[in-house]
Amino acid sequence: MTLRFRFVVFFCAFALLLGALFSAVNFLLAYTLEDRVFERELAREADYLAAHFRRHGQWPEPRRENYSLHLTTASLPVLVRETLAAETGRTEFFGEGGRHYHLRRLADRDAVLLAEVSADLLVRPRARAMLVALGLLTLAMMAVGCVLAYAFARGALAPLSRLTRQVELRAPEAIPGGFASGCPDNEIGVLARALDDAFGQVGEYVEREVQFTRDASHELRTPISAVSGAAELLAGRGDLDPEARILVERIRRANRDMVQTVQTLLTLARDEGDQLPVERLSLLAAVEKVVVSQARLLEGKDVAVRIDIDPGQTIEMPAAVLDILLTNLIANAFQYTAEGEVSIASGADTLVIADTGGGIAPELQPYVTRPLVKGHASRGFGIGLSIVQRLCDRYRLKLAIDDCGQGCRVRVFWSGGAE
Amino acid sequence: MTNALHILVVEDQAAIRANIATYLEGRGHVLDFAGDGAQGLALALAQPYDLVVLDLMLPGMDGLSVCRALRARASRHIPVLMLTARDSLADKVEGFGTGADDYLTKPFALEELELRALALARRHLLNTEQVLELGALQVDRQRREVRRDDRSIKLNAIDYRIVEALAEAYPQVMTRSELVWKIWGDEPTESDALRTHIYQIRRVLDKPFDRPLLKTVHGVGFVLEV
Repeated sequence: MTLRFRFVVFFCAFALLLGALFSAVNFLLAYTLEDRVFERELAREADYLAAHFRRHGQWPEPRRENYSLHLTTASLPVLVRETLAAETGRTEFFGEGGRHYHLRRLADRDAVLLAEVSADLLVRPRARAMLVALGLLTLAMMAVGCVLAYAFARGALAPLSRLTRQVELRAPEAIPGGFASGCPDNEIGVLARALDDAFGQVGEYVEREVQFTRDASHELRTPISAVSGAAELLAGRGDLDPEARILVERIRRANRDMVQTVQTLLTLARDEGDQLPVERLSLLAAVEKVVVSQARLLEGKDVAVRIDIDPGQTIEMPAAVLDILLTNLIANAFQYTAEGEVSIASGADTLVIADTGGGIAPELQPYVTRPLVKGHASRGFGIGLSIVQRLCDRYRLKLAIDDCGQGCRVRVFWSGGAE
Repeated sequence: MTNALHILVVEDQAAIRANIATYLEGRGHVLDFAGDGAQGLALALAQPYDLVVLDLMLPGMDGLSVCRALRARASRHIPVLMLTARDSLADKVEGFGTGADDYLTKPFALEELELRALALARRHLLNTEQVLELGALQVDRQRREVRRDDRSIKLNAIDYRIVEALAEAYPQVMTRSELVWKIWGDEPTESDALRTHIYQIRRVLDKPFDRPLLKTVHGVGFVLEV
């Protein structure tokens, strides 16, 4: 329920309640007043009668035609007598044929004065008309209240509604802003400016993180390039003893891991900073490219690569992101498989990468995608899987990593593909 | 050494410059170095280099500006190989738009730098874009003819296009999908069509010789190994 709707409903209900209360009070007041008038007349007559009796020792006739004096209750009309017998304190009675009586006991005597007032009634015969009039008045008041509430809500809440639409319509990944423009200088304006400030700050933080990641990665690439070149030169020398050769190879491997990590970080920074365009990509083509680029990880190992992906299978995401995702997963499989097979297969909306490597230690299983958690045989990529997880979350992919007995199995589900 | 090139390297990072120098000079090439863009441009305009290796990120005048100025002011087309730490597609496109002939992302293997340099320079040394010469392999794109060790290799039209694509991509590996796309485009092809063609190519290109040229990478990639 929107705030405006609630406001209007609340205001209308209030107007209705107020109107009803007003009408009820009016109606009751009219009744009471009429009764009071009759009672006052009756009291006056009773005083006159009593005074006459005191002076002359006998009761005179009441001065009004519709009044009658009863020395005992026995002479009262039957309905009045019976009701009075049941309720001795009662002063108002209904008789047959629309008759309406008011009764007063004369002081210190059994005598009662009865007035038949049906001819003088003003309110009772018009009760229906009065109720209708009051009801209509109430409804009119409610209608006016509703209109006023709607107009007020519209005017006062319009900036809030606009604010709400702005928040609803924003792109899911974009940081919203520009709330304050056109907002009134009241609480909503204050809120809008506060929102602008807060989101502006969030934007700055994100921008700063992205910029830092980007700068750091670029800074790292120069020394990594230098190390890579130097290690290549060293490896190319014929005069290295076998021990030195092992060391050089170790440097080169570590350097390649660094390259991979920096590349991953850069892609992440670019993706979160520039909103890379989403494309429809061929899964097979992307996998083949990564297998070729990571093939050196299998050099000198007896590992077969089996690819079973339907050439027509596509996936929607930025090309650089898919590349980094597959690179991390496939490089992991290649790196930790000493012999056997790495299989990369796709089903409907899933990609399964299974290897015959060391698998995952059971105690690490729940933590593999957290930053910087590594198996004892791991040579790197501590941050790789956590970034893969982050990218998967961003593109609504589900990542499942488990030990399938002879090695590690990674499954990626997309477009609502269920497990 | 017949393959010796006269190369200008414009790179501000001393360590990377030293690596390139050690490797390429060790392979017999003659190198000049510039540490910033302005100096690089002046040298490139003054000397008849076979190739300029140009870093994109340079202090002062950056690589793109140097490349643009070189294209505008040099009387002949000097091949430019751009080194870039930035690897987004937008940068690549920009690099090629300003006249770079090829690019290599940092960090790169020195061996690959030399292979690309040779391929680029030779293309221009031959003074023709039509004949690709990769060691013993010649691909004449005008006459659609392939020669190995100066012997003509008989290929059908599609086989020729596959060899040509691989020669153009050299020294990079082409994946199956890339090849299929390049040869058949969007038109669907039988899944084994490429396999059949590769088999036919091997029969005439590699079988009669002592060493195979066409190498497979885990069944998904193909590369010419010259």
